[in-house]
Amino acid sequence: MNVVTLQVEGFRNIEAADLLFQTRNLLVGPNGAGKTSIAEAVAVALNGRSFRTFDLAMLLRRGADYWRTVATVNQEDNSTHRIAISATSQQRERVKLDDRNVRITQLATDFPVVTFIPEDRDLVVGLPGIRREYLDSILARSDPSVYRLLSRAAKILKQRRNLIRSNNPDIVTLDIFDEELASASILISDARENLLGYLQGVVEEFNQRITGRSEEVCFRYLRSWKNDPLSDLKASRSYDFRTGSTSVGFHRDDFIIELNGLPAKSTASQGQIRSLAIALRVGSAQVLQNNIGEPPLLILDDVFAEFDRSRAARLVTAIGQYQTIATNTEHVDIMDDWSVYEISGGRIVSH
Amino acid sequence: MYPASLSKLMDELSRLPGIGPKSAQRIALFMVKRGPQDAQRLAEALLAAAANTKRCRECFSLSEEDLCGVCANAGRDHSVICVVEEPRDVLAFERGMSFRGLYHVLGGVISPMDGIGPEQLHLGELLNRLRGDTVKEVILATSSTIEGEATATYLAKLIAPAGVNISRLATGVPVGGDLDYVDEVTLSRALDGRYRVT
Repeated sequence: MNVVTLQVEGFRNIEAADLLFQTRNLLVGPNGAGKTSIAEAVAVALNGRSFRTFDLAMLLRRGADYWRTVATVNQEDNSTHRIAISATSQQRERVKLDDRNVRITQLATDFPVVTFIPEDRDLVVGLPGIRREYLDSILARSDPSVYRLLSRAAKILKQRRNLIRSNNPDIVTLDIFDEELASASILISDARENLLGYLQGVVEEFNQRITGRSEEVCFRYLRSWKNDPLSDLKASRSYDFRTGSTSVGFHRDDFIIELNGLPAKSTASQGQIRSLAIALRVGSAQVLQNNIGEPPLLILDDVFAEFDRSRAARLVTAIGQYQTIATNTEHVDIMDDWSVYEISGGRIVSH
Repeated sequence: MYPASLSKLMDELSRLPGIGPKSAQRIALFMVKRGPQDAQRLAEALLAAAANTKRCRECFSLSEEDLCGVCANAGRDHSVICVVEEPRDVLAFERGMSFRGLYHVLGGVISPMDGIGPEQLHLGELLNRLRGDTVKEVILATSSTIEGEATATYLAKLIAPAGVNISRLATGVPVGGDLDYVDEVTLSRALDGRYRVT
């Protein structure tokens, strides 16, 4: 998949911008110039979701009546599509794909985007929820049945939480929701563990290509139950009643990232963490490409500032197969052959 | 902007389900234009419906009598009870005209999120109807949502001691539907519930 053109209006600090993308694109500008906003606009234009906020109402430029993105995209089968998304301060986002109304959730599977932001180091060192979200977002886009399973499980969990927080909850009802939660948790954890198996080799390879060193990467999925989630759910009931939460299930799982046999979270250096984090993202791009059959677009926000010259050069080589849109505060000499947009004060000042 | 009585009408109308401020305005202006006679008829119909409609004492469907038309009909099969969520589900079955048994309206589904537990549903009344030998089968016809399924499971556990047959409405491919458009979950349910042709 390739983004060919993008039009942006009333988006963050961008009044209006017109961009024509090549395979490799670099957005350059001082802090606050609007380069990340352009990168964000690409993500919103293709997937209807931002990597900076869940609340798309935040995107509206101050003083503007509406925001709008229009992207033209070439897919692997040589078909060209036009995606137009717009919203006003009063009206929610409306999505038109080739002039037909579609649901915003449909876009993520048809036009895959993988984003790397500096905060992604939390994939390695952050809370378990970030790692679960990482796996789930790959699964949900790869397999519609897992997407449905995940949303179903989230709903069961919400019902159970409401039940244990109510006065005098009905125990038979709780039994039923526990059974549902247990069977959904087993299916989800199996799907996640299976995905981790695929990812392990891919991430190890990318990590090696970025660092230039051979390092062993190992993922271990951690379930929040021992043998059977249902019996653990029942055993933890009195605790759950006290805390008003559900302590066993797919939403309490995690995975451990080991680098050369040691947990990366507590032993890896800053440089190792950064390389691992980006390898996790690029690795997910490869898995998505295999599953969807469409190579994702890579958005790399502020990555090169943190890398030394040789690492940056290796990263550029490693992502060679993907269309890339990167942001940086200054020109990078190893990216001479990239298509460069200079951005300042929400405007494109040169191309 | 509008006279006070007209604004009041719009305000009342916009509280109705599916009616937004724009529709409320359209209906209100239409009523005013048609004059007092039409308004009188509508007002009387509203009042009469609200005053005369009550719940059937057996099945909790809507009725003007103590006993609804279905429960009072001796020609219906009194050995089968179809358990549904809301009165509108009864209407859905009756439109189909293929079910000849009786109904039992629960008045909702178990949903802790909305504060609805088993005690809010007409469950004790259902158990009462199963006493004696008249009823041989209970059909659980709640929706196939998480809440509907949970309610069906709950009912199955609750009714089991009564010793009647319990069945669940089938889930699967819609009639006239293309297999291509059926999602995997529905399709795998349809597979589970397949029947022999020969």
